[in-house]
Amino acid sequence: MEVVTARAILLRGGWVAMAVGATTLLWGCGSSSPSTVDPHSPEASHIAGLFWLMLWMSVGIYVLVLGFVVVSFRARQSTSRERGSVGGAWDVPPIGDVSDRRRSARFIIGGGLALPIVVLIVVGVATVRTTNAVRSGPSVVKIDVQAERWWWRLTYPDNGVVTANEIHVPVGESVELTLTSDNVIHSVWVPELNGKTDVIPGQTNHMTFTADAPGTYRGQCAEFCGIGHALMAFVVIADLPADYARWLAANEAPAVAPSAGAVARGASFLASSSCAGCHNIAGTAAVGTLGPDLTHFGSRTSIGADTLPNTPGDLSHWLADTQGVKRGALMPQIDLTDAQINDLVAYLESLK
Amino acid sequence: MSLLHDRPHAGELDPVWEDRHGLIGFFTTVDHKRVGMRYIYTSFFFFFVAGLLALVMRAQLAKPNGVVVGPDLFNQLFTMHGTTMIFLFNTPVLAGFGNYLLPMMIGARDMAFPRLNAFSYWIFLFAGIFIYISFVVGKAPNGGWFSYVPLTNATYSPGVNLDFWGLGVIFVGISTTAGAVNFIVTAFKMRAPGMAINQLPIFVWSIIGMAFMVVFSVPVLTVAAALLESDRLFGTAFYDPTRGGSALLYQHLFWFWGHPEVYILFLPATGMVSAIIPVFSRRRLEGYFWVASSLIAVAFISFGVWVHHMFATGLPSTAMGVFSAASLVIALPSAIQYFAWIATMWEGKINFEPPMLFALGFMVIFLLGGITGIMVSSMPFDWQATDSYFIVAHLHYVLNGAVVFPIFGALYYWLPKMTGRMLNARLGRWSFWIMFIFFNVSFFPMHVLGLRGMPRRVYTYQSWLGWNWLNMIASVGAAVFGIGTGLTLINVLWSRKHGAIAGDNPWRADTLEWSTTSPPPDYNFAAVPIIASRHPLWDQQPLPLGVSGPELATESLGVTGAEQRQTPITGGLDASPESGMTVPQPSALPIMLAFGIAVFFAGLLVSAQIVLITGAAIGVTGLTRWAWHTEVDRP
Repeated sequence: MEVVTARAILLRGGWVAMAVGATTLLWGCGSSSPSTVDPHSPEASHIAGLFWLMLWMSVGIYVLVLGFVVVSFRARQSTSRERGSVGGAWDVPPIGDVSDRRRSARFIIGGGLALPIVVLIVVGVATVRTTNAVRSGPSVVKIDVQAERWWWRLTYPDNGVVTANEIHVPVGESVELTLTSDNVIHSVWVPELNGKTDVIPGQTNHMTFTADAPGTYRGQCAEFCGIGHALMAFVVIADLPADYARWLAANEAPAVAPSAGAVARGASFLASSSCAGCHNIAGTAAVGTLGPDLTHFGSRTSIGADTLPNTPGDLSHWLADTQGVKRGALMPQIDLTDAQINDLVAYLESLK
Repeated sequence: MSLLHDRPHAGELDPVWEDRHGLIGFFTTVDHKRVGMRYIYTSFFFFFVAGLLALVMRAQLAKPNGVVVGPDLFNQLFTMHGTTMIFLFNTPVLAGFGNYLLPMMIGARDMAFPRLNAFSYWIFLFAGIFIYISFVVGKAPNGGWFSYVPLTNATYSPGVNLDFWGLGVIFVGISTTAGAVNFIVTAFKMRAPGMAINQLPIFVWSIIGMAFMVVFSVPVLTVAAALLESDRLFGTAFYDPTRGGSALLYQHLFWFWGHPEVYILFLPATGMVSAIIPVFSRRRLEGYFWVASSLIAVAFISFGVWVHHMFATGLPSTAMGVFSAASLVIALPSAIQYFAWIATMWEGKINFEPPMLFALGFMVIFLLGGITGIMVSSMPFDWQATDSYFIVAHLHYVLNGAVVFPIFGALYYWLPKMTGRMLNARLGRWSFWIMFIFFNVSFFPMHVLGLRGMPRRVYTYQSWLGWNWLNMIASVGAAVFGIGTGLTLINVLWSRKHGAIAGDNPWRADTLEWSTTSPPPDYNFAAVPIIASRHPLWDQQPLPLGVSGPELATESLGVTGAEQRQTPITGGLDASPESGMTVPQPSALPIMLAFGIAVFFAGLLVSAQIVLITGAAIGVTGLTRWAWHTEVDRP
């Protein structure tokens, strides 16, 4: 009886596992950003197609092979479990005759060699086709991405725009990212737009994609790069061509001159403080290059490489407790009074 | 009549094989069984420690913006979890089973180099302590278990943390390599007379494949780590791109070892499964030839796949295509083994004892891990999957599901031989089912997390990313999985006093280790068995033993040899007797040499020349005495 129980439990356990698996998988498909199976570029679409092909083949193979396993121990059940009893479950196994061995050999070669070879050929052909499809063509829009610790320095070499952590691209145009690092290895990953490309000191890598719809696509560093790795994110914002042209024009210009009141107080404080040693605000005395360029900071959507949303409240929080928000960030904690923080926030948020 | 069918003269063998008593005996033993069990116990200690590290990580990741640990400690946790599981649990625990079982399975009385064997263990123990001292002093390695440069060079990782890793890896590699050489020579030269190459138990084939991979790959890891330490300690620039070095060179060297390493772990695990399934299916393993060939094929192909860890590094895609193809092809040998196991069960009648449950659990889990392995060997999909939680899921299906499950099965199967006591079957079933179900609860959702963009090695994530519930499920699953492994720990401790007496052969198994008492005597076999079958205990009843006369055994050992501290040396494909080997006496030299090396590494770590020189002096003295003893004093 106990044997039957064990078998029943094994089967039941299998069903539980499959149910859990199916549920989590469906759960995964129904959600919003970020996702490798919700592609928004031809490159990511090709890869997602490859994934779905392999997934369904995998499900088929899994069910088939596991079916063999289950049937194999349903085939002949032992009747007695008395250890060592003659004619019982622990008999010395007989030497199978030639026809038994032939049957097993056919099964092993058929299932272990022929079946997987067919599968591997299909996967191999799909791999080559996808690789060729994803391979980059000529790109009009070129953007230099320098991976820093732990944020992204962005330069649009054809337009002279310098910004950080927020890559604006035009919808429908092939975009080429030129990836460099002068520190440690990072990796650029925007699941909706393409797979990963590492950013490796001493070499220049390239990554291309063509966003097919306007939207915000989240990216994140995917190669462990030290204490700030988990909070080294960014967004790719795909704009309609007209919006993109407007964004470029706005970002080519120097920073807007401060008006009066808190904004002006913030501007003069920043220019005279240590902030100016690391940050650049074009058209002002702040010409540092160690940290992110803040010329149009107010127009960006996030703070600290997509660690916080860019709101006045979150910016105050960031300035008051940088290390609490993002441990290990290279921006030192500067003692600021509440009034100074308010002025700085007012000024920075005015930099549209 | 030269073949006896009972155990002769056991009483006369006891005094010549006995270890010294007490503490001295503890430190001087060269008995492969004691060494093997120490390997197993020590590595299981590290297993539970590394498991606890994982649970802290899962607690941190259970909710977004977790506050259990900060990034610095989290980075130490995952670095130490990976380093421990690979270097201090999986590799040595399999070496432990190999150490214990290889001589027993081939009818030998010890390994080919018993003192080297003891030395390997002491090195492993000292290296483990060396690496874990980092935690005690609060400076554990934090560069990931793979320690990619430049993050791990002296500029970006100042401090002693990474030196614990770099030196520790070199240190423990000495143990692994020495052990592998020992396995190879033992398997080829120490087999009982008549045990032809096509009669080796599959587990022995898997150890041979594993040992050859170790011999060819671990030195490359040693080079990778030595160049890293040279950059760190002596200011060279092998890996420094700002001074003409190459960051990718490190990755090539590391993975040239790193991928064979996966199979170094996986191969003996499949060997265990190939030992367990036939015994509990009451059926000879179907397709012995194909299974043995598959093991050797894996050992070869595993050296041609390392670049699949580097698909995102920007290497030319044509070059990477070759490695993508090889990574697909390596699925074939595993598929062949898998269908051989199914065929064996199909033809047999299954007894669902705990070892078999773990083997079946292995089959269910490994099937999924193998399939996702094919998926990630497809280069474009790997660009999405690599360094995401999809890989975390895949690697745990392979290295936890497909390696740890067989190891637990092996524990239930072989521990009765080692201790003489059965483990409790009911508790074993509970342990299995909890482990099996919650393994999947913990690791399956990670596939989805990876597909939804969660990268590896992040200590936190924000709440709006859609990862919250899946992480919570994974964390709960991990905690309950941990409880399942704890049940087996309790079972092992309980069985030492209360387990049923096992007897010689509780599973009525086929291989030679079951022909002797449980636990076996110091000399394993009172008389040398003469082998004429793949399944000697099934086909050769009663088992022929050679002790005297002109027959096989006497050609190698002679009557006196069989009654001395000797074991036969055999040769050729059919293991014909050549001579006898005198097994060395217990000795303190192995631990002395290992201690000297440990002191030497400690000196490198703290850059104290006096410590370094002291260590070198102890080591050289030990080595000289060892060589002197071998060459001059030997009776």
